[in-house]
Amino acid sequence: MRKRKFALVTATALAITALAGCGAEPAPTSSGPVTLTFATYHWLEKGRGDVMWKVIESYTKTHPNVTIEQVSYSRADYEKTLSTQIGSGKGPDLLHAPDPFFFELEDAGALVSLEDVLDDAGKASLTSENELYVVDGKPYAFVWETAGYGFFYDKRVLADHGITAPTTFEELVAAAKQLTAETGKPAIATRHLMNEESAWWNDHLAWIYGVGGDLSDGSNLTLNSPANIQAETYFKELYDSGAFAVGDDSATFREKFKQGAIPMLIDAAGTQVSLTKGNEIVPPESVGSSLIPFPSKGTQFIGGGLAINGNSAHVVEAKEFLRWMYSPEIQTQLAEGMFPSLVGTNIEVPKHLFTEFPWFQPIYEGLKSNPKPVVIRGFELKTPQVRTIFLTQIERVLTQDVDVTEALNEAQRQAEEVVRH
Amino acid sequence: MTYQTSTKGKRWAVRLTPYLLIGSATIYLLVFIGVPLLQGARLSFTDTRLLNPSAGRWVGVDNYARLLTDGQFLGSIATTLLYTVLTVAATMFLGSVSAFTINHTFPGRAVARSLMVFPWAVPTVAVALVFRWIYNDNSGVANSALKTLGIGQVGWLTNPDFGLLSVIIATVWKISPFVMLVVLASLQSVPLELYEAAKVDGANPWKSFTTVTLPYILPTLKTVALLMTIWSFRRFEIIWLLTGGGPADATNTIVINVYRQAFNNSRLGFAAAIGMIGLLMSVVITVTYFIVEARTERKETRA
Repeated sequence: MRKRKFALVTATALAITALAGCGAEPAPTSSGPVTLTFATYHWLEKGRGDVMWKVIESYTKTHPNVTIEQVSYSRADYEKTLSTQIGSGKGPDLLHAPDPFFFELEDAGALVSLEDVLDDAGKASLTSENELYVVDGKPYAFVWETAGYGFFYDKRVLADHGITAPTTFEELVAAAKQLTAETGKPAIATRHLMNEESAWWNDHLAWIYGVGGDLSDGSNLTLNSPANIQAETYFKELYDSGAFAVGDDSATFREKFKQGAIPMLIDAAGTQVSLTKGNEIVPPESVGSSLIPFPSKGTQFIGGGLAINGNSAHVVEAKEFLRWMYSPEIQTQLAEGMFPSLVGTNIEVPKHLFTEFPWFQPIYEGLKSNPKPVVIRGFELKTPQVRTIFLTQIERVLTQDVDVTEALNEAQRQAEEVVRH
Repeated sequence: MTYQTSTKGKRWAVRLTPYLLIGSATIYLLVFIGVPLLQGARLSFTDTRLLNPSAGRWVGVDNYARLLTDGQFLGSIATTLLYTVLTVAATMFLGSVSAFTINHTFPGRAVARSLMVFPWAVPTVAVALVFRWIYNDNSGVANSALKTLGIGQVGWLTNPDFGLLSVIIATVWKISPFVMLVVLASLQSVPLELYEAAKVDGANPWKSFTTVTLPYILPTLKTVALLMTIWSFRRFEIIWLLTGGGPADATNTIVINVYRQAFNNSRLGFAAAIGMIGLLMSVVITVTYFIVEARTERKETRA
């Protein structure tokens, strides 16, 4: 009897202690030292991460009691690592949440509302892409970056072979075939492998949006629309051209571009800085660019929101940090490091960047021309599952010569099944 | 009185000792295997998501019902079985042949042994990355060799017809040294007198192998084959790093499927259901093995 009473009292005490930690209000501002952890994979990007970090670190000059600590994971493991941490009640205080990861976080109630962070002037300075992170009228993130895509080529190589920069898809294929015939090496590369699934998806939307296609109309999936079929037919044609770097993942083809071994890429603009800055073989001024030469010239943007983790013990301090970060002065400084992506406010991109990196102009124009997001409108949460289905069917087209229409019809059928549940 | 108490105490100590020794191992198994297993089983009946593990709703057998009609899942079972059978067969063959080869004395045997064990010592991640380069369509050593031989290029990691073969080759290269070491140890424990007796009886090398060597090492071969089978069911890193389950799901095994569902799609409950089915398959194989072993033993005892 005595033993049972003791067990009951102990269990009750433990339960009360556990429950005391739940639903706690954010801790009040501490006058003691605070460390805010800030996670993004950009810290690992040479030539960008270090520039951005210098800006972020400067927060301690005006807020000496706060230390900002970098948290970095590789791009491939980023969402998975953060998911596991946040799911277990931990994770960084501030996190860059790339699309569609933001939607998963928000749906799980893992983010803090940022309603009270910016004043009216601050809210007015936000770009339209910030609307993506407003849920039920409340912002749960502000844009950390808006990254563009493009077609990049070594101007000198094309000139050496008497090729003018392609402006249509047909010209692109012809140029690639000619270069391969004359050099014996693949001439063009873009992501196409399943072990880079999420990045491949982000890249691949350039084809779909480029021909005026889309994956939904907001209410229904439209994976097998005529425009999408056209886009995938183009992709298959390039893949089979003999000039495509079949089997090269992005790390491989980017290195090849850097070494001058492959002259054309369809890739995220962000990599061009690290590939060409200080590169004597392929310097920035030798790189030409355009949006992918497709009929509608539509393009995508990779969005990423900067949010506060609901598990954070320093929500008040984190909000103060965001207030500072989204001020015009800091956004202007950050624009240098974030380049060639745009920041989350309407500040002007420093002019010297257009001169130093001439390939940026078309990418900038693309980012200003209402690019579409990489999440499926109306099905943001289901984007990862639909993505796997869609790209698996594209793989079948590429590697097993399955008819494009048949493959996209199958993708549509499977995806509709998934979104029903 | 003191003498009787002391003897009683000794008897208790003797009785308790085996339980104490087994007990610590049992507690370890319960805490680190049993409890997580039960958690996984419970999870498989919920719609839990990775980001909010405590908010899963009970959905009964919904996950299992969906799996049994999911073409991708059924395909992953077939892929897993095919991968396992071919990997185990090739590994057992290569490992056993290697063991027999280096069981004989020859100049440089020590060096040969070290080299043959080398793949086992290399981290699996490094193996996967090296093979990615070997298999590269344009610049890989494999296609360069085939081109030189006039055979032409193969899409090792980009053609679904070759994806599984490529993964199997990398796996066999990596794990056959383990089989070699185990079989070698078993070969070296065969009493030399048996070989001498067989020689005296006029047995040729083949007869000596079938009547002396094979029966002696057969239990070891069976145990290693069972371990290889279970490990092949669970193998993740080589497959994920080489192909990510592609191309076109050609290498999408049960474990890869679990990972995709849990970490790409954040569907923890659904992934747990896949894992449970994979576990069930492993248990069926293991139980079948022990039943067959027990029957064989009984037959031999009667004989």
